[in-house]
Amino acid sequence: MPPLKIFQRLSSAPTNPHTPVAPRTFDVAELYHGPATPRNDSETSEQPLDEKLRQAYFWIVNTAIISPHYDIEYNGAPPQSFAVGDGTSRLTLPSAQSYSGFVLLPLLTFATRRKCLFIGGPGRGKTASALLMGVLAGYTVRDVRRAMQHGHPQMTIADLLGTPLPADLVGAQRIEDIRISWRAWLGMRVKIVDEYNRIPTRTQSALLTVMADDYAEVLDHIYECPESAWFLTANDDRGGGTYQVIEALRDRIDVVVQALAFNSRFLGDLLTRIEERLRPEEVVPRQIVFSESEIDRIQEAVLAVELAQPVRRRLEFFASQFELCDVAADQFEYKTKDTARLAGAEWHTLVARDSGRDRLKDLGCQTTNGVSVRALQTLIHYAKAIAYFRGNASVELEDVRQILPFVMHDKLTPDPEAPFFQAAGNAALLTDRIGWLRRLFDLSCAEYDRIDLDRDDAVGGLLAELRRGVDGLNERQVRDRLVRIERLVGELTKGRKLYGHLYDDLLVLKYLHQRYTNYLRWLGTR
Amino acid sequence: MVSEQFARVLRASRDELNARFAEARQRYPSLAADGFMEFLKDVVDPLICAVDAVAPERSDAVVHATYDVALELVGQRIAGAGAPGTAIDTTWRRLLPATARIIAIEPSRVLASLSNAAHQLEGTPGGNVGAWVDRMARLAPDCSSVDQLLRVGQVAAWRAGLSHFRRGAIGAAAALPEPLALAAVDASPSCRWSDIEAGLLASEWFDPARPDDCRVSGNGVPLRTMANVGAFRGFGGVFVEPPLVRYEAGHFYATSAAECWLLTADLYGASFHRLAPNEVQPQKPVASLPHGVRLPGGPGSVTSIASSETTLAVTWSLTHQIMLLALA
Repeated sequence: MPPLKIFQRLSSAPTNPHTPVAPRTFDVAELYHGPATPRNDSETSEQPLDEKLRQAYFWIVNTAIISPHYDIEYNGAPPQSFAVGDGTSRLTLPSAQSYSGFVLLPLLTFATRRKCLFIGGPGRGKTASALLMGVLAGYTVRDVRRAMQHGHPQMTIADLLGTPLPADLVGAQRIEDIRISWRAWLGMRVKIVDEYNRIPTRTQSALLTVMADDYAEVLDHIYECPESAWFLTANDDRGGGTYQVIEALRDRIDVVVQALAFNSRFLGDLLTRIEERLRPEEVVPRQIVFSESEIDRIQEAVLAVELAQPVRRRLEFFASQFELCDVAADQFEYKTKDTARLAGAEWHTLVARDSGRDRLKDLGCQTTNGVSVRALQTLIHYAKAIAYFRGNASVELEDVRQILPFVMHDKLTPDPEAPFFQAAGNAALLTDRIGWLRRLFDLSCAEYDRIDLDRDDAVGGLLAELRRGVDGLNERQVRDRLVRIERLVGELTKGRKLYGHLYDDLLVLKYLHQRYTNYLRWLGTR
Repeated sequence: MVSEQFARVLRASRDELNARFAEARQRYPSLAADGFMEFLKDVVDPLICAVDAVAPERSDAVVHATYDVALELVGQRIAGAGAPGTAIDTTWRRLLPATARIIAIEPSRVLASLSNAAHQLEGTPGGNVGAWVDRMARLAPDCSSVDQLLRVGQVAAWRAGLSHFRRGAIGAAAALPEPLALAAVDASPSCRWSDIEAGLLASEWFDPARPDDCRVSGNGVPLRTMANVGAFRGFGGVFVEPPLVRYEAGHFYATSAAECWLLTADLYGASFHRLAPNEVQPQKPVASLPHGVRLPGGPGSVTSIASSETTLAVTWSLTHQIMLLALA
């Protein structure tokens, strides 16, 4: 029988130790160690906030949510890997501390006040997880439940935001005299919208304003909402809701997390909860409740995490793969998938006209869209957040690799007709977004290594040269740089197929050329 | 029946506290509602009343913290009717009400810390819980912060028999205001802490209450026996056969049969700490006296002698005790 769940017990700190434990000595402080565990009496805990965040994570994963799924894998040494069944399935045993995405992503969302969508079938803990996040913010279970917005087909803007006071409606001579009774949830630091894809389209637009711009508007009255973490749930994110989710609203969601299936080996834990009437959200230890100022400090600390150039370059390389659509335009700058989309072009027609490239090798052929700036910003934010969570001062490549699929889940759309998905063994990646996106990033990194961009990055060198400034450059030096740019463009285009990363590089070279041309012209007028 | 102050908070947080009790019972299946209620009524209630008298605005926080700590202690059967000892009950009854003002500041930390200290004193042979509680109850009103109270607790625990904490406790005393530090070691208020501290650091046998006492014996005069420590395991001690002692790298070690203990001792007591075999380097004990030292008589013949700069440890063939004599 598995050990009983311990609802108030936190994992011993440090949960992610970075320094070896000192040998035991007679320390008088040990006098106060023992069977009784002191809780944090004051709001200002001496415990570092990243440690507190890990404490919260381990409490949730070990106690509150029965989710034995470690899908965010880290390895310190080569992991043990086992082939299962016919050999196409592999089970990997990570060699370093790994995490459950279903718990970690919402927690990072909570700590960085962003927006997380839970997807998955009914009864898999989506709403319960969102509820826990509200309790972690210091609200009572009752308050969080009452503030939770439940999407339904008759939901009006008034239901969502608030209603004008009836007496004012009758007596007011001017619209500004009408007072609005705003809904309480708008002022909360954790906002939960359950089954958001059942909300009518018009109400979704009102929700979008609150989500995107942190304010609500009714009858010209504005309610400024505090910066908050958002948790939305959807039973079926692929159009199975009552209403189609408007694209802008979907685009505002930062990460998508799937509630995985219940492991029947843990039925005993469920039984205990039923028999003892235990609800994890009602027994959240106070030590892992975060105050508003603590979340502010976490946000600052997350932003301070370094994203070093080598990692950033690989991220740039990855992002450059997807926007190019050679046949979408004649003008070089407009050769993008977005141009084709805006023109309403049939995707299949475009694909048929695309020739010359190796469509299996070209990662851009696997998607029907590119990566937006917002998606990249979100990716950077979450990569920093997971590095902070792991107690690191800088983002590792593995952080990006692990977090990327959750951010890009709804941002990159796969093309099911792409040759990649027809290749042997890749069909499952059409239904496994997380696996596909991680593979996509791996392939991008492999290509990055193959062309040796860490050591041979001529475009990067020219860009760095410009970023050092043009002050003091004379005409001869500028002309010299222009010649180098033109020569490099010639080399890059000579006999090469146009791929996404090359397209971005050529645009950069054009940009550099234009900057120097303008500077040269300015020099000539002095 | 509990006091109105206590009952009010219990009523207001009924659901939450009931959930915590249910959760605690998962951890401690033997936790009984009756026994816990009895502890709340007999032990916790007086504390809540004491806190309410000095800091009524903190009553709610103290009740919640006390409730959680009490659940842990009663659940683990180290407090309340099912506990084998009385150290924690004694501490909660006699000491905590006297520290109500400090408890109100950081209830959970103070309650857990003092409970743990009492538990540790009770579990250490030679530890005197009663003396620790008495000393703490006397000094607590002079403490103005949680840190001060806990430092005083460390000094008191050392003086109540936890000799292994000696050096850290002296450091804790040094961090206290001078009058409180002097009171914590029973030194005269007219003394200077720096003098007392120097004496304590110079010798384990220095008595702050009598700083001018000289117990160093002259040449040829028998040394004064400060303590006889250790006992036969059948009588509650740690040794299965008469031990041998040796002194290495700043520590006394006692061996008996195949077992080895680290011995710490001073004026206030002695404690033995069992060592694992891989922590011990086998060394042959010696039985020669330092030059000019004369031993008092003992049971049987001398089997081993070890000395530090301040202490002479002697074992005899007919006893399981180790004789400790002051050299400085």
